[in-house]
Amino acid sequence: MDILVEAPNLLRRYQNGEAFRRYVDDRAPLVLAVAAVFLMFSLATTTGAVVSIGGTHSLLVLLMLVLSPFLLAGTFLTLGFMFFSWLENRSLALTLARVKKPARRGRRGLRERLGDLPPIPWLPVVVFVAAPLALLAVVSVAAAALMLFFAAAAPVAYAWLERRVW
Amino acid sequence: MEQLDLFYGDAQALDRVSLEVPKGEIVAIVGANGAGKSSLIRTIAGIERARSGRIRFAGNDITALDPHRICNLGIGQVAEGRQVFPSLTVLENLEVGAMLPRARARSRRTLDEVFAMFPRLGERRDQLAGTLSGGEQQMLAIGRCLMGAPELVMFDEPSLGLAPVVVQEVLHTIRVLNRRGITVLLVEQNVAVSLRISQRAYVLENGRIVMSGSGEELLHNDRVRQAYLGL
Repeated sequence: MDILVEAPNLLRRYQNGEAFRRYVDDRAPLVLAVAAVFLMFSLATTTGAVVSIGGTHSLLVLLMLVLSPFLLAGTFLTLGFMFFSWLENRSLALTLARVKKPARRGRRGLRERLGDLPPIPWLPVVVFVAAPLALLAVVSVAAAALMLFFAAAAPVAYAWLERRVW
Repeated sequence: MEQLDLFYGDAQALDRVSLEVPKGEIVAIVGANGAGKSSLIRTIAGIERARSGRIRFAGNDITALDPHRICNLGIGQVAEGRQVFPSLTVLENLEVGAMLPRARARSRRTLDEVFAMFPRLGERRDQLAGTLSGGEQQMLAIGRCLMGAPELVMFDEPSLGLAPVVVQEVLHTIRVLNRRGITVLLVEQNVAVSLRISQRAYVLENGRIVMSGSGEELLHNDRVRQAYLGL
């Protein structure tokens, strides 16, 4: 999947699609909360990458400082793309009336609550999400684990709260 | 459409645009990038709100209507970049198109008509739309629009990013739709092609209509030939 093609398409579908736009607008507080978690994840992993690669070598520090805005933006946009693709799936499921009440508890119930998973742009995920997370783990395993937990828990919390409120 | 003004913030995108799309015709809007062609379509579709002016469709004032109400009056849109839902199957994409109240009752019949018109979509009805080729996605976008039983279809750059053979196929489809009684508003950067198939055309520059006439007339107009055809 080419994220450079798919991301603008997703944005256009959001701009032109009344149902998707309304779905997001109606849930703006939840969407913004998840976006804030992803921003925190992006800031933490970028900082981890800068500290980890930069180390004490002045040239590497300079290089990482120059690259850090791109890394930060790349991480945030990659997570944002997957999140918005997932939101689009959820809004389409509502439109097509494919939403079922989760009958089961546990992992299968969670799977039903989350619905269809979004498309995963593997290359950007490896470069902008997995690699910076690994570099953060080099600096602090606890911080990396915490970020991973937050990033994974955010959509789960979204799905749970969405069912409660809407 | 009469004296339509559209602004993005302080920037004026459309400047007192007036045009007419007679029933049963193909009308082309040509112009350079950024001339306001897509803004025009978005305004008719209700996605953008005009600051002043009026848009009428089949006797109804649709200037301030929401997009879904405009669709339900019979105005369909094939958006730039196709915009099919990649995570849905071909059939589900078509079902989304038939969710308008005006289209629901005869959606089964329309679906059969769409599959008859685009047999490849029928063959791939259970395939995810994201896995289709560019040409097939364009067919699906047109099919989804037809599922809404439109009387007017607005095409925004239907040939963009498609191979020449596929472009010919898309243009043929537009002609076929028109022969079946569907009115077409065509926005296209490929000026020669759009003028050739349109009965009437308007040239848009910096948000203003600067020229209009039959497609054939504009095709032989020196200014159009110099500015848009490089002749």
